[in-house]
Amino acid sequence: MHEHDFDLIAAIAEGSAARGSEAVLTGCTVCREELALQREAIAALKTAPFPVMSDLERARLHRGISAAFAPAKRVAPWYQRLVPVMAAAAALLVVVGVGSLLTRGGGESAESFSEIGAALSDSAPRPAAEGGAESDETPGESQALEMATTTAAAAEGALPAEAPSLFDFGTMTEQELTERARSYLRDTAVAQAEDPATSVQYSDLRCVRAAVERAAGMDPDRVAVATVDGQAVEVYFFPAFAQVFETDTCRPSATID
Amino acid sequence: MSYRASEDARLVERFVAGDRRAFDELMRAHEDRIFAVCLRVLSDREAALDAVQETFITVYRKASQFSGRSSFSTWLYRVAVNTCYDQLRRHRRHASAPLPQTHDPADPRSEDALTSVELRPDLEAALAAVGDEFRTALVLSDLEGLSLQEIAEVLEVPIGTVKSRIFRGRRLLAEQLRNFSGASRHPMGERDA
Repeated sequence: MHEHDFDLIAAIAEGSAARGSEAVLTGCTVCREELALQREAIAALKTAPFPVMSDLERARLHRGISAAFAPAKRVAPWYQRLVPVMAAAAALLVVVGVGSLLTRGGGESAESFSEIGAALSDSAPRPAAEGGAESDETPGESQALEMATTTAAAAEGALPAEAPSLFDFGTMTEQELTERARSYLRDTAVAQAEDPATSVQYSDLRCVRAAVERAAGMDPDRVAVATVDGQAVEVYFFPAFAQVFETDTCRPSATID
Repeated sequence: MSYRASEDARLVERFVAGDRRAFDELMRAHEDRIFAVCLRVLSDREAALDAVQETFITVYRKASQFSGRSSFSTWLYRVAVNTCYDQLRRHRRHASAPLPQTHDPADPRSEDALTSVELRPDLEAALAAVGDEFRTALVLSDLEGLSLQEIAEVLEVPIGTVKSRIFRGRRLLAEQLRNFSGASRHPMGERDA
């Protein structure tokens, strides 16, 4: 009874066995058949070309991997997500309150409306808002909404009690941002003037908490949003300096004195 | 240690220290080989690309766990093979259309090697018909040229098991090829090595 030496057969097929080894298999039909199969397989596999990725496939691979490691979009914490809801609820209350006063006041609606505006301004003053008892300006719905937002957020203790004035620096380089920020810091009169833009809502800010913490609890006077070298930033102005934060991460990126 | 192995070790060290460019270099150095292995094991370009992507994502996330006991390329092959096995399992469990086990012959009019099958159609079909473990051993041994020791490390099995899988894999492959060419069947049948 012959015991088949498969290691030897494999070595002969691979060409790594000692010369003359094949002679050992001469008398064994099974061994010779096995050797033939091994050689056929090895020979067939040797004809296989090396597969290559096409340029498109390679680009897709690299794109997929880059996407997998792109910074995840920051999800606002629960208290920030609640702000719009609470603001809407507060605005609804204001509208209902105004409606009820108007219904009671009848022909005195204009005077009553002004008084309500003054009362609202007193309860939630804004640096740039001048709407008082003497003003002809009446609080519109968006203004009421913004004040309500501020009040709701402040009630949670998460944000400064007074909303900073918001304006948009637009798209610029780091040097331009620094110059703009310095000019605001130098010229208090400019800083206290009417907002050049109020399109950004207080609740849209992402780095208020980080800014207040960095300023040892001090509220910012003003906040600007900008895109600096393609990176969205928020600039928080305090009386003596401005602090720039990367919007995505809320990491402080520059301090401007 | 070969130049490639020492270069890999240096790149892994740099990457773990925070240099993302080192990862890009590692990827460029190995992506073609990993793609080749995945394509041979999975027999499908789309699935192979997905597996390569998943492999490098795993490497990116777990590079700090690379101990350096084996070479980086051995570790990379291990991640790739395990990723391919996972894909095969997922496809078999969920897909109504499993990964192809038979293949249409390449279009002889096609000038673009990438749009046709890379292997002789009969060889590709024969390889796909061999069981996963045998096919993987054959790919690593006879197509990638890894040593028995390296394959044992990649597959995390003893060398004796690797030898057996390669031997049986070659036998099964040759039998399949004979079947395709209409030759007579091997008299040993399904006997184990």
